[in-house]
Amino acid sequence: MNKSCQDLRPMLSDYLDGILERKERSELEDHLQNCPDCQHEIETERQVINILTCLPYQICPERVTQKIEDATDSMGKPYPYKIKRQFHFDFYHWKPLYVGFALTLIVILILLKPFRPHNDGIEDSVSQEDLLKARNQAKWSLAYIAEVIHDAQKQAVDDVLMNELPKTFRKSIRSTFSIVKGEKK
Amino acid sequence: MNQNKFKILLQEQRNRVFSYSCYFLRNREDAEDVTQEVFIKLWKNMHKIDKRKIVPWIIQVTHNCCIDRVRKRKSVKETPKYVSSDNLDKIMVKTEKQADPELSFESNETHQILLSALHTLPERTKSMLLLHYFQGLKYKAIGTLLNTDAGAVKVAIHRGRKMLREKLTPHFIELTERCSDE
Repeated sequence: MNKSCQDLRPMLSDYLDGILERKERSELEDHLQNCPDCQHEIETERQVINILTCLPYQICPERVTQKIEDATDSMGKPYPYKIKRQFHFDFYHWKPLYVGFALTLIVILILLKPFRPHNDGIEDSVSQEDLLKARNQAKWSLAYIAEVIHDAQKQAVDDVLMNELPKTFRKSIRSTFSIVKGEKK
Repeated sequence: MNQNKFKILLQEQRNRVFSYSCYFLRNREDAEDVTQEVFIKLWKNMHKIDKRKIVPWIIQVTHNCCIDRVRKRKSVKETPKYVSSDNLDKIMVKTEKQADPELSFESNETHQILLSALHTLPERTKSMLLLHYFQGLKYKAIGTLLNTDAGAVKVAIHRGRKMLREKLTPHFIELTERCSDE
């Protein structure tokens, strides 16, 4: 087998399938005219394809057909195909219903409001001054809590910087921010 | 689909199903069982199948049933009743094309050798070759059926063809010599 055979033999299958490009096909056909080895190979493969394609149909025995017919007769008609209507839980599909329901609910609440008992207990017993005092007290308390939290956070950060970090880091931080114990910079 | 239409379909497709099963399983009894199984499944699922896709459905179910049968054989480890080379001709049917007895003999002999060679191939390659050349399916359709891509099918078919060619070459040489002697 010469080099040209080695190059062209992978194309033989594509040639037989009829999917080879025109240029390659003509190249292969030229080669086939002069190469009995490749000719033999292609002929053998063509014969294999012919035999595979022409494998005869086997006749199915009548008793098998009869058995199938008997079985289908005894089973009766197959279950008819029905398209089941499925419930789609889709908001856009049911949007009008939701809107209607919400509007009905609002109307019912409006209608029921006059029958609600009037609440005149707490608001009248507390004076405006007391309310103002209580509000200010709450404001100061919140400010105090915020300050405590802020201090605690700062303390925690300082602790980490001073104790948890490696020595080299601490040195570099000190040189940058010049942290001294007891002072806040 | 009513019973009459089913019967027409059965008459049209039974030989295709039976032949494929015969060649795949190499056993007539199993092929008969597979044919029954396929058509009963078809009857049960008729309402679900698109009318235009009935034939591909039949081919696919036939192939799957054959594979199931092979797996069952392997799991039970039962000895498959392969048709021996002596009475392999029983599986072959003399068609009208083979009216010439000499031609018929040669063709049958070649078919027998081809079938024997076919059964030495891997299961997947064998099924691809049968689906492509015997059932006439395209690479893409085979790929869909066997859950692979068309390129892989093409490669496997080419490889299978090459293997068959290597196995059949001595027979072809013998045939040529016989012809030249006469």
